[in-house]
Amino acid sequence: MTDVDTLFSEYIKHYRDAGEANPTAYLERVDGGDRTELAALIDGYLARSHGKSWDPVAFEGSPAAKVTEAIAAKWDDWELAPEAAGWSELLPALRDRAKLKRAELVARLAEAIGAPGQEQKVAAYYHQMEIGALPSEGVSDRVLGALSALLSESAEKLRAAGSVISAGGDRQEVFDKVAFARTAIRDPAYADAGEVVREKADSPGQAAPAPGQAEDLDEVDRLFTGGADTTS
Amino acid sequence: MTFREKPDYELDKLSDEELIAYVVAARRAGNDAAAKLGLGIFAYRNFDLLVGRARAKPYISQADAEDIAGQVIEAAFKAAFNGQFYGEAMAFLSRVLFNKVNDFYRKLRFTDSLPEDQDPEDRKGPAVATVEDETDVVDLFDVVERRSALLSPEHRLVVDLFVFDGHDAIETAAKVNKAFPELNPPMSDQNVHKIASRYRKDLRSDLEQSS
Repeated sequence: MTDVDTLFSEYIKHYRDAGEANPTAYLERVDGGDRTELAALIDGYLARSHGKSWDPVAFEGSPAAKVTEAIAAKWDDWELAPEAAGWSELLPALRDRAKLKRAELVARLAEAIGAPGQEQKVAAYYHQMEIGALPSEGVSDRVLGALSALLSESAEKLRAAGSVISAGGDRQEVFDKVAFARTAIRDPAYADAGEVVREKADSPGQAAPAPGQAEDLDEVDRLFTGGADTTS
Repeated sequence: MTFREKPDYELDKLSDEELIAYVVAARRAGNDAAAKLGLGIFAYRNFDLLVGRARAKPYISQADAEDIAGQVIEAAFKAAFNGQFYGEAMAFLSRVLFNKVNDFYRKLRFTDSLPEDQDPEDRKGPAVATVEDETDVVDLFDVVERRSALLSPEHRLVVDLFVFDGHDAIETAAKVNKAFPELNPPMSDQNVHKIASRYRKDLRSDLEQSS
């Protein structure tokens, strides 16, 4: 009987060499708890794998092509939900529903994300969210989790509503918006966190910093513009 | 938001979540050709992975696994069109996969109980008589994720790279130190082995309790 580690290593090697993901031959070589553990490792490995890179020639006639045809043949009958409201609609509506003034929400948000004393900066970023200028792709799970609790809406829905990608945009647009938001809140007027910032944010002439120029980021910057996994 | 069609080489660089969002946006824009290309790239990327994961379960043949994989991809896009696809694609696909596998077992159990003309020996997979004992399948993905969720971000990365992705300990430590430059002391290859060993022991215990 071969041990689980050896079989798992052999499976990974086989998968990488041959692109063949069928684990049956490996699982058959162990029993009981070893088999369950090997199955869990293989499942974890495949779940984390990127899968095949696109190859239009290999795709033709493949099982994946048949699945694609089958799905495309029926999706006209599927309900296509209207485009979700963006943050500019959703956040003010949720705030109204929660009967929270913006200043109150911002104070609680700053506290919840571990940034008490930085309410002005949090207010400026939150303002960018409410006007739809800050894409959710840049906002951390911690911020959305805190907003979820304050506004009684799931973090997943909040993230989907603020997503540039979900709305048909692309990564360059995400980058541009994140960079622009960082620039906008650095304007001295951001202390007001209100209409002055809005004018700046809406100004098409405002240049976004080039990649790598977003230096001097503090924790609040990272939480609002560093991406979903930002932890500090 | 104006939909912008992308060529296949750009779509191939998108994450699963982005690809799904692209297909939905293309459909909203009425661009079925673009939507179908995006769907094809997603299906080609994920089909074999889903088949492999389904085949890791007892009594699921290649044909059954391919059928399940197709159902999972279909369910994912149907949910996305309905605005019900949230979170990471990996977690969503895993949940649907688990449900589809259980549906398969339920159907197998049901047909097993029918005293009709079907010969049990014709059924794919061994030991049909004991299928019912095996159908309370462990949600392997869920057990793994629950255990991983207890780890710090640094240790989780160690587990992802070393335990699940086959990197060696030195390479894993280097990647962790690059991702977490503030780690003090930095991750060493010995630490990687210790973290992985503890994780595997805990995972084994979790799996035994779930079985």
